[in-house]
Amino acid sequence: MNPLRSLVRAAVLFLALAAAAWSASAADKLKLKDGRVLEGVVVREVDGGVFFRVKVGSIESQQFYAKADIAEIVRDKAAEGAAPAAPAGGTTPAPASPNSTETGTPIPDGAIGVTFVSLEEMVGPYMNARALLDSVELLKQKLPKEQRPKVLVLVFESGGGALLEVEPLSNAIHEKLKKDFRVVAWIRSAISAAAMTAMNCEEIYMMSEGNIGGAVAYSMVGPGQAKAADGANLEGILKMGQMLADRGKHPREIILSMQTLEPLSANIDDDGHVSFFNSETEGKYLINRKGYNLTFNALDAVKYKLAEGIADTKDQLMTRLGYKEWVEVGQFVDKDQIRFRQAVKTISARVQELYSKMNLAVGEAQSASSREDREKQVGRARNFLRELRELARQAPSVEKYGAGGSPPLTREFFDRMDRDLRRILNPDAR
Amino acid sequence: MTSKLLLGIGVLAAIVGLTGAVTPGTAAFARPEPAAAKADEAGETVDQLIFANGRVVEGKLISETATQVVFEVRKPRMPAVKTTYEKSEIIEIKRGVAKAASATPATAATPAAPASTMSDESSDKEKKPKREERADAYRIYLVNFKGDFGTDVSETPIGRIFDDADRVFNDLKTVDTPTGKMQVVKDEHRKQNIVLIKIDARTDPRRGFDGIWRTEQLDQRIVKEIFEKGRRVVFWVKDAEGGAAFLPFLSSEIYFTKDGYLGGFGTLDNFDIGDKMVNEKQISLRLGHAEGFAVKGGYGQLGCAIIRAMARKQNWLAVRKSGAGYEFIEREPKEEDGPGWIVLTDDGEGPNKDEKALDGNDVLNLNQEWAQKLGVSKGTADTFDDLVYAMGIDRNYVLLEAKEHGVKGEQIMRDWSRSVEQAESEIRQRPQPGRLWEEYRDVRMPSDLVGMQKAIGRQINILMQIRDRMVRFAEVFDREGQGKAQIDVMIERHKNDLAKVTRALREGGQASPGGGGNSGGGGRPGGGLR
Repeated sequence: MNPLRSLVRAAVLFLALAAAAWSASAADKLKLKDGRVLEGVVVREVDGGVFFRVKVGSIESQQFYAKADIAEIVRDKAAEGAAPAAPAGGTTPAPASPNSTETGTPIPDGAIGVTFVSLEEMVGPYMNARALLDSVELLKQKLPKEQRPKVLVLVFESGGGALLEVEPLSNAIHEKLKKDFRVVAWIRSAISAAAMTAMNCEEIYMMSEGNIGGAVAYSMVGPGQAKAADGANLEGILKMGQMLADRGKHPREIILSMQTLEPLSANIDDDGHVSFFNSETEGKYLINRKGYNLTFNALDAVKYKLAEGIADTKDQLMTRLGYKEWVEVGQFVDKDQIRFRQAVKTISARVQELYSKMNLAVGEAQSASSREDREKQVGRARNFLRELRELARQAPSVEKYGAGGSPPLTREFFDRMDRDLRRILNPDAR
Repeated sequence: MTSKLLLGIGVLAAIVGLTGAVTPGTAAFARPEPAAAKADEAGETVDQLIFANGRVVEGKLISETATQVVFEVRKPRMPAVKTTYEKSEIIEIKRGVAKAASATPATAATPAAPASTMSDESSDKEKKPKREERADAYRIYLVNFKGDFGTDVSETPIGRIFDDADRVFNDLKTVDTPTGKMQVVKDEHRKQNIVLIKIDARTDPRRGFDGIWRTEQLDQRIVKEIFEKGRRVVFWVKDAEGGAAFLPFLSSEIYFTKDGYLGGFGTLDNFDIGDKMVNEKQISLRLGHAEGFAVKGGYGQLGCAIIRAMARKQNWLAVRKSGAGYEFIEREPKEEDGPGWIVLTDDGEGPNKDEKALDGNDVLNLNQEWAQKLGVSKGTADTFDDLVYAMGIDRNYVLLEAKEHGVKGEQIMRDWSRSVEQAESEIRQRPQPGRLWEEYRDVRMPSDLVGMQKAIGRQINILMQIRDRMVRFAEVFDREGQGKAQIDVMIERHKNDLAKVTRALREGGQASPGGGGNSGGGGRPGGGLR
């Protein structure tokens, strides 16, 4: 199958986020044949005209001027060779700690080092086991042993995603991270696959607006039509739920009510110990009625001891964890996760646009009357493909999950695309 | 093809219709007891409870145990209410605080302000002698959140409002935290400097409950202001519907107008994606998010129960006076529950189904009376003076104004609304194409190459202008950027045409561009505005 076609079929139309930033110091001049002289920045020159960015007051706008209308372009020499503007969009990294550097922070005696890592957006492409481990691995690469954190806080904000990624995430947390760190889940929102992932952590803290639950597995079977997992498939998923609960030392009854419509009630004894029942009537406190699905708010998560407490700031959390003195270290780990997610986001947003532009170039190449024109258009198509490949390199999860509705962007996928373009250039070549 | 198993909300964007959301019939409800605390308010000192979330409650400490405090809450012109608080929520108990130092007005007998409305305020002010600004005066930055929530009220103007408030109050300090430096409101100004948001806004009714997602997008600055920076934010609810109804819950200080209304998101039972289990999952996670607003604002378990009753027709909520407050159950009261239960919402099934949408109790919507009884609202006020009185500020306040204090709040909101409206009139596609699309459509493609070059350039130019509007107002029109991406592809197509024409011109030959405008093929993006 033609990968170009398969891509366009699968892709959802998104957009490029990057926009050239206005450079106040740059002042190219565009002299028009009608006598006007515009000051701004020549963003791009194309056949037949230029894209020119002008600024009036606080408002910037980019306009196209046909060569037929242009008398002269006067370039600002000072701006030439300036560093390219940073891409727009993306999550702003947290402010750096005054005591923290990329290379390490001395941890004072009696204080504890902690690293916060945000796990956000869709499980699978964005909340991804391989990406998480790669980011955490940076601690070993960049920090001497004595400056490494003892505590790793995973900050959850995700509405769920691919069930396929839950077990790799569970293994990453349980088999790797827990061996090196005191791993704490700190939850703003952990729904569905994110809830299942968080359940691996023995210590869960909620933000006051936090929620955890809603872990019914389903698949889409048509436009706006979903179907919950059932039969052997469901059995397997429920077993996995049990394993996750066991790994986090949480009651299996809770995760069952999150995965199904089973009821949940509880008793709380004088010592505050909570015992659970998947029944409406056995426990004094009815937590989830039969036929409903369970999502805990912060108050209930704490009341029924799924979570240890509520904390809205890092300081509150560390106090609740019992640390009076602490230092945030390894902020580059979170920055790496943010960079990774941004790459996935960019590729998701641009995949259809890049494909469409590539397809235009391919169409032009196929109908070109001369080899020179064909080569030029194939060259343009290859540029778009190169851009896509570079984005995919920065976001390894797209190999498994694709992006923006695309098929998985594997090496084979790109190789096929290359072959197709070669064939267009040399129709007789194999 | 095998379908991927999903766990989440990412792929679902069900639009749930607005049901006949109704306010509980007030005739069935008992009014509060007549004021009994009036005499007590003549006392010269009060006790204060200071909560971890910043809330301060004044009144008289009745008793305390190791875990709880029984407190008689006193508010001006309100009955004293005995309430039990968990000590875990309280960070400090202050006894015998002088009234002058507290927020309570000097006397409860101060006459109510003239019954002017906010819109009459300018004329109202003109009639009053100008107050002298005291150093300890409360300074109030009033802004109206009015119109379409998510459009007229969105991220950019909200950010500008709070930037402006910071500038006008000039009350920030930089503090070091283990995670870095941050700006917070100076302690001595936290109580005095107030951003007052009067809300008369609603999300698109077609979104129903799912207006909450828009609120979660645009509330981030307000969350930061209240919970990180320590900015005192008070909501004054005239009408907060759909997603907009969640926003006030972020603050522990909500007031209502007499005809105030908060609700209109009771549509969750309409959710249908073809599978009961998946429906319930989607409802459950939505409630988890919604209840988070109530917890965040300090409204506790009752607040969560109120949200559930407001969200879902089948949810019961019955309340009964208990001491100073209300106890609640979320099912039909039974005989063994004892007397005194007031059913605020039933399950809307069978005989409980309401005939008329607007006077039943299938879902809960809050009016001023029940908002106050249930502790969501702290008081009711139609005029600004009544409001500050209800807030316990009495006369020692300054309403910051545009002319005198350089406040830009109203201008920011007005300018944003106008700009959005203007942009919409230019780039909308339905029901009538906007001005720029009309212009794009009207570009004629001449037969000569130079003319073609100009025409294509004009088409590109118009598309660039549309793109500019989409980018500038992306939070309103093109949040996911799909429209911009489509425009980019259209521009690319025109650029190809332009290259052909330019080449032909260079070679002195003929060319026929493949697309654009009236020559056909340019088309308009399928997605886009309304």
